Amino acid sequence: MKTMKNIKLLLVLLALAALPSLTYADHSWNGYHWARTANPFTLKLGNNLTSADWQSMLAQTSQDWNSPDTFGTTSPLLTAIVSGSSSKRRCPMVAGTTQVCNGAYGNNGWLGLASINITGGTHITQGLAKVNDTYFTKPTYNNPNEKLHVMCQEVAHTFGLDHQSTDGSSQDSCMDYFSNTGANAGSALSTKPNAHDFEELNLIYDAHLDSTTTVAAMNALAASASDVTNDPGSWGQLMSQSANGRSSTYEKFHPNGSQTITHVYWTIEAAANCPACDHRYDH
Amino acid sequence: MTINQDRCESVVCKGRGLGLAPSAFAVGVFFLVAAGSTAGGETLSLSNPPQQSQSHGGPVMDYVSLIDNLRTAGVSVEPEGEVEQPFFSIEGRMIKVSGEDVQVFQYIDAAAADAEAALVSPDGSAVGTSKIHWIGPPHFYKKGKLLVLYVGDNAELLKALEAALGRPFCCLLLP
Repeated sequence: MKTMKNIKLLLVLLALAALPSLTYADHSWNGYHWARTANPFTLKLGNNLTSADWQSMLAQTSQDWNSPDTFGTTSPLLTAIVSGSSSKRRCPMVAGTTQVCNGAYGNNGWLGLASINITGGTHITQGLAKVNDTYFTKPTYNNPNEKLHVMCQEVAHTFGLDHQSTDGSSQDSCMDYFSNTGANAGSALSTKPNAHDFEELNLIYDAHLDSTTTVAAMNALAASASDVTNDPGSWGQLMSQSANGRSSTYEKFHPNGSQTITHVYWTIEAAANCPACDHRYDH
Repeated sequence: MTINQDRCESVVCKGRGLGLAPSAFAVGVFFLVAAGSTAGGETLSLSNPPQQSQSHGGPVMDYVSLIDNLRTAGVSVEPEGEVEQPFFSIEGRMIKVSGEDVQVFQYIDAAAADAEAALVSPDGSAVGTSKIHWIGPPHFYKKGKLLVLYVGDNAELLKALEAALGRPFCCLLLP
């Protein structure tokens, strides 16, 4: 009798252990999400950034959120960097996209801020991610890890993701509140999404499809339709890069719906400065 | 020109804080200039925001009495100009309190301040549909028609703000 009871208990424990790790993912931002009729979908990130440094952060952020395969999974949401709507620091929103901006927004207490507009209580229609140069030009915050952390986080809030943690500890996710400053300025912890972030995106966007879409179509707002040339600005978005930074793949979407993929093999010198960065902007 | 202080708050606030259309706002300004000061209270110049306040005594009711209250408690206060937060509907005023930035938002009445305070999430990481990455722990206070925000962890300053404004209504969790 006792043996039977123990066996049953063991079976229950084994069943619980077998539950998918999806139960860990619980950082949806109030259920907000983009309405779309199919997965995966591509969210355009409007590049209004005024420095090569911030542009490289955005490129890295986009690449990281496009790399769920790092964790052996997929993502229902991909990103594509396109020209921004405005060079003004106020950075107006554009329907169906997330606009990304930097500016000296003042000593107002925040490093980064993400805003969304919603309709029907849950559907995101447009987003905005801002990073505050009033603080980022100060030595305390002016390091690539803190910048990447904040860029990665603010952009992802416009996906409908909340923080994984707000207690200051590192979950090694850019969706936590770890501070890459002071003694941790050299730490690359919490500068990229982790597996739980992609799990949450799958939870949010695999739950249902919608009958309409609030996401701007790729061919409607694609960057210039000019041919890809030797001008690095014509290559489109950095999609992937080898660990040593020498082999990079760029993708450009054209208004007619076609894509151009460009592979670049960098010199040792070009890649050495920052293997993980987009070398178009890091020197 | 001088404007009655109470009306001056409405005038120097953004038109949208009153829910007024720009043309209505402009008409309101003209009317107030023509009418002059009609009620009691301190008069202020529209073109010269208060730098030194006359002591009112009593509890904090507005921006001026907040400064007065803090100074009476022996805390140094220097007005610093305006501050904008995308998630609040009006512009605020920055004051340097014991060397640290404190943001003061004065609404037309307590109900308006209450409505915006209700948008602040319990941990302060969101206000309405904006998510914020703060440089330090945020502390939000509400007193009458004032919303006051201090981002930081200066214990003495927190004590002084609590003495003037009461306990903060947010935030508990952010580091």
